[in-house]
Amino acid sequence: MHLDGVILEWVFVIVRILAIFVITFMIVPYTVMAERWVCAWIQDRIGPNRTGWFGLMQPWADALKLFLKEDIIPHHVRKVYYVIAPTLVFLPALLTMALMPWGSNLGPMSCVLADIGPGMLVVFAVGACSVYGIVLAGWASNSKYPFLGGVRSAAQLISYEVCIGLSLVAIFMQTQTLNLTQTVLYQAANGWLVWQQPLAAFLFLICMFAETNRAPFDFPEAEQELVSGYNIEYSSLKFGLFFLGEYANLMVASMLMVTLFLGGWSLPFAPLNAPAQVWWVGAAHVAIFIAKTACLLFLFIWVRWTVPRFRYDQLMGLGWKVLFPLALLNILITAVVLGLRGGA
Amino acid sequence: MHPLEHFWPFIAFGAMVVAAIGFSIIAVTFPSILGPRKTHNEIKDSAYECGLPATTGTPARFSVKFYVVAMLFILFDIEVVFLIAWGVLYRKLIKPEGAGGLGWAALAVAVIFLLILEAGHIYAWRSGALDWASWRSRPQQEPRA
Repeated sequence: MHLDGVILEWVFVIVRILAIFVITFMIVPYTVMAERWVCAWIQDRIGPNRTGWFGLMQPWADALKLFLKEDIIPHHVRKVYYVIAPTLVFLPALLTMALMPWGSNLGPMSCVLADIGPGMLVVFAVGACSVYGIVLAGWASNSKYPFLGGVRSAAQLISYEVCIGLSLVAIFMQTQTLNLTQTVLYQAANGWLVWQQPLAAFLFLICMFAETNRAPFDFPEAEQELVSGYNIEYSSLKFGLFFLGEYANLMVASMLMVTLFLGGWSLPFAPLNAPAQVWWVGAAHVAIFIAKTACLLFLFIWVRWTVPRFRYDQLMGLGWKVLFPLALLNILITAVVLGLRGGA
Repeated sequence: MHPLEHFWPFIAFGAMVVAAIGFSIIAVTFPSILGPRKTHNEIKDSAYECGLPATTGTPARFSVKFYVVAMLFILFDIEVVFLIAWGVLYRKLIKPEGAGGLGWAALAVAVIFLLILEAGHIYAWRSGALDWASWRSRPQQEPRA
């Protein structure tokens, strides 16, 4: 790689960072929008339909409003942590996007920003940081409801973190890699992992509901118990960042599920099941990836407006007494089946 | 080969960190520039409660169960790290001894490891560490005067 190569590489890096921001800020506001529409539809209401065409400008109007609101910092908070907490909810989601293969390649540019060898370890490490945002917000607010929400959330997130790790060990045993791109290539060649590892996929999906604080596991903010949980003392765009971070985490969770279990950017037939050679296949891969993500996002929304919230002891019981043993069992079954096939 | 080639993913990741932190700084500082001037009064600065002045201070007391869960998490998550390393290599290790693997010994070591781990899990379960406010761990109710 001579100097031109280095410059080209920097151009690619910048283009892909911009692409990540564009993808995030197109998907996240419209997920919020979709949430409100689907919720309205399920509850037999109309939903927001006035701002712009069919209400399509609503999320931007909301964002603008949050930008222009008074930024209240109450006197009783711990100021430094109070200010950095909302960013800590949002940062992990953006950083995980850097490792996500949201397409195969567009011309000479691969669609993964940072194709780090053991990428899943980085995803685990960065993803686990999002718990700090919520706990810090709860603690820094110096108020009762946020504190309870933060503590609850910490216990919930770390309990399900164990099950995520264990359910993915079975995937690593099959694919023999921690790299997300390699995982997608494996699935393009050998079929989607959701068919080969249905139990792991099921466990991972449940854990993702818990990790993103979605109903039926939305304890950190359980409206009827904690009003709004860890973010009540926040206003203006700081509150907006929590909101954004929550939906960005939801998007990243869906994308991880797509990448690890649903074949990533691939579809199981001829031009679409291998890295793109021509640009329109590359564009199709990006579209396929986003379409799969959108389907999963719809599932998340659908479940939220259909299933009632668990009780807190049921949540912890489910994590430690049901999912944990099931994940171990799944590893054992995978090990025995792979052993009987002689590792092939 | 350029010496930087192996580091590109990490450089790119670093660039993303910088971009993301830059975005965060903008998002946190902009509203105080664009928004209305800050005003303070007693009601605005009080902690959010049900509308009445708070009767107890913060931080509120919370259950010791949260500590127990945190400790259990550390124990079991370390074990996940070991299993990831074993899992990635498993298909190479399980090959018959002639083909460069360990045969069933590769599975046996993991099963022994998992059994020890599961013994700890069952112990925690039996001792009530995983129960939240079950009838066993609930304190005896004080008789009312």
